[in-house]
Amino acid sequence: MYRYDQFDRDFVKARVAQFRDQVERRVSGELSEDNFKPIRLQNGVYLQLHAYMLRVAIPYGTLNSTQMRMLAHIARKYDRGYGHFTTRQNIQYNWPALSDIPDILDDLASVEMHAIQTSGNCIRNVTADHFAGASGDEVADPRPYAEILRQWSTVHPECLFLPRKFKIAVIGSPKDRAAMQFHDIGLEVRRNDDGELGLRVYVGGGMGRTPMIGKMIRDFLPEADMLAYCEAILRVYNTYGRRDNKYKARIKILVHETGLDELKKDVEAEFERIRGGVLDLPQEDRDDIAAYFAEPDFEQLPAQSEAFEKAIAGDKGFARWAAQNVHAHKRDGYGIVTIAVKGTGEAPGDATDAQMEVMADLGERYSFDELRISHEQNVILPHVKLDDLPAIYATLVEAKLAASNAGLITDMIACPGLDYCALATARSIPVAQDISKRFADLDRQKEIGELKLKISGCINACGHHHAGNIGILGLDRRGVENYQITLGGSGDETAAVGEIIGPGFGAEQIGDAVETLVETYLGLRLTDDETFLQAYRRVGAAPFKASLYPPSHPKKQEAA
Amino acid sequence: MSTLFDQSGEREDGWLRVEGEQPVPDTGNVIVSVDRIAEALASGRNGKIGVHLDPLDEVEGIADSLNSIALVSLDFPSFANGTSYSKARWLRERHGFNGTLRATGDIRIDQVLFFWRCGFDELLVSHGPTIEALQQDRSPAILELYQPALGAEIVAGQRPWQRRWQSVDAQEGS
Repeated sequence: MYRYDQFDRDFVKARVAQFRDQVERRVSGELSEDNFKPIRLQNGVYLQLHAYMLRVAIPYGTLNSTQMRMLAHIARKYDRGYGHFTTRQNIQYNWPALSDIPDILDDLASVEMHAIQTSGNCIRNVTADHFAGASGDEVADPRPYAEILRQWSTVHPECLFLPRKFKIAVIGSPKDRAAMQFHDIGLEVRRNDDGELGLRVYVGGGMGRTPMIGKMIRDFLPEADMLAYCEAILRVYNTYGRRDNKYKARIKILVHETGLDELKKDVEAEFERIRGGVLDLPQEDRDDIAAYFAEPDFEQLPAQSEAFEKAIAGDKGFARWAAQNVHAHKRDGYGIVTIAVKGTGEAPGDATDAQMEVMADLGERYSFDELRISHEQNVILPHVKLDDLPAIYATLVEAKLAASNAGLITDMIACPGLDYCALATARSIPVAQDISKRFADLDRQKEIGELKLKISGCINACGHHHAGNIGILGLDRRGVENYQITLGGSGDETAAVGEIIGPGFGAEQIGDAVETLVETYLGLRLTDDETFLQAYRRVGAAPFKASLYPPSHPKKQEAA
Repeated sequence: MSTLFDQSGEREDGWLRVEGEQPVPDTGNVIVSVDRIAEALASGRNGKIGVHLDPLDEVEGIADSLNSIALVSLDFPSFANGTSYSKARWLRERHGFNGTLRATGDIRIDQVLFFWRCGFDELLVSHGPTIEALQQDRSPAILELYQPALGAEIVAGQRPWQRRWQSVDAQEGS
């Protein structure tokens, strides 16, 4: 894991002191909200429906047990005993008092964490594959690249007042677990034909009201040029990106309106001018950062674990959890555990302080002191011995964290929605809770198989509904919540934007509609292995439309 | 009332901004809008000529005249509109402009260092609390910098991209 050096410590300390002064000036009335707003945003502080909200960065989703315990401490001391893990690998606290926030930031700084640039129209927390360094399909660990980008983008003087927010994701394997192509810049670490490491660069992906899949702007960028190329993209975007309409201000719109070829010409021209200059990344320094993410001291273990096999044979609950929530590790005898922060009827991504403590303990004891937050709002133990899985499972059961639903329909993404968010047009959490309860039967979930369901409470799409195999978007129709369904979206390497299936449904009907979709899928799939997404891609929307809007129910169609 | 500052503090504004259809005076330093730069340059007047760019005016529009332009003024109509930070860098780095770069508009104390780092020489400030803070030399800027840019920065830290900002005193001492 990355550790702060003196420079980082000096910076974060100065930043907290700076913000403490600014908060004091706000609380005393010297700073108006208008003057305070740009400052608080760049420090992760939102003014929400009921209170201030603080979003804390978890760079590329990696943290250690000490940091996780600090997140628990903050939930306990300054909030109402819980926090919300977000789709950008951050954590949000919904109820901090403004005057406490400098103390919270001091506490965070003591464990090398911060809330810098977790909001505002700047380069946000850089995200990465949550299986980084653990998965066997990896070309290289994406986190060193993400860490270098995190540093470079921190208080970049040119990039703090961009036309709109700017999100970067990095993956290090051909399999995309980070929805990389839905980011303003997406980077895929790969090797060229000569075996050299470099990056495939995508630009202009995003969700929001105009969802777009990122377009490849560079097939292979030498590693040394990463910062120069990103800076060239940002400079062109900051110059030409639209500022007349916030819904047309993301780089995806610039790419769309200018055309990739034209934009690429500008980017490449600026890149050619600055490459090999001060932003060049010498091998030695890349290695130096990569060393922080060196493999832990894995043991040589047999591929099979007796203890693990025995537990599978003897405990059906364990067997189901292991089959669903434990993924293959690159090393024999190890596995990757997904702790689904998605208990039945719970708000996706919400964890209590006690649960965070439990996860911290597990990470410390069983996973080389490492934990990850996934963009699917789960917590990952990246390096656990198969031998230890029964003990881990037992602890998770006790902490109500043993939902065996990773990748299944109840492993949903949902934004906070109208229960918290000032932008929301409808509630997300009650819809998620309803679906979670309807599909609580694990046998049924397993029968349905892999299905990504994602819920957003407004057009901004924080709940990634565009990338959901089933996406649900909550809207406000003349004061009444209305939920629009999209089908066929995907956030993986076959990225696709879901298609609107038809008129929306009321809060009372949306659960039934999801059941109808699932039943339709089960009825038409060719084999038990054909996933919802595969089936949808094979048959298209028609059968789903037919069952959702049968001609015998003309009333539903009138709702259009 | 706007007040002009450079990194050393408050200073006299020796430039006249000619707005709209106002006539360009025959003498003195004037700042004209982009659409009048050709007229001003051709007039054979006595005094320096500067140009003011709104956020939508492209730097390329004045690129050919930069040798005859002594000052470029870039506007920030709102603190949140940062397009002119990049324009300043285009001017300095791609076009090699080494005249005076001025920022105008909604400039706030918390952003002052960003202007210096993007190549600006001076700020024409109208925001009351910012004027006060600059007069009292109260800048909340953080001196550790995570990326190379422009201005009085020196190599610092252990990474090739890290820098440290040099205060004016340190700059003068060096």
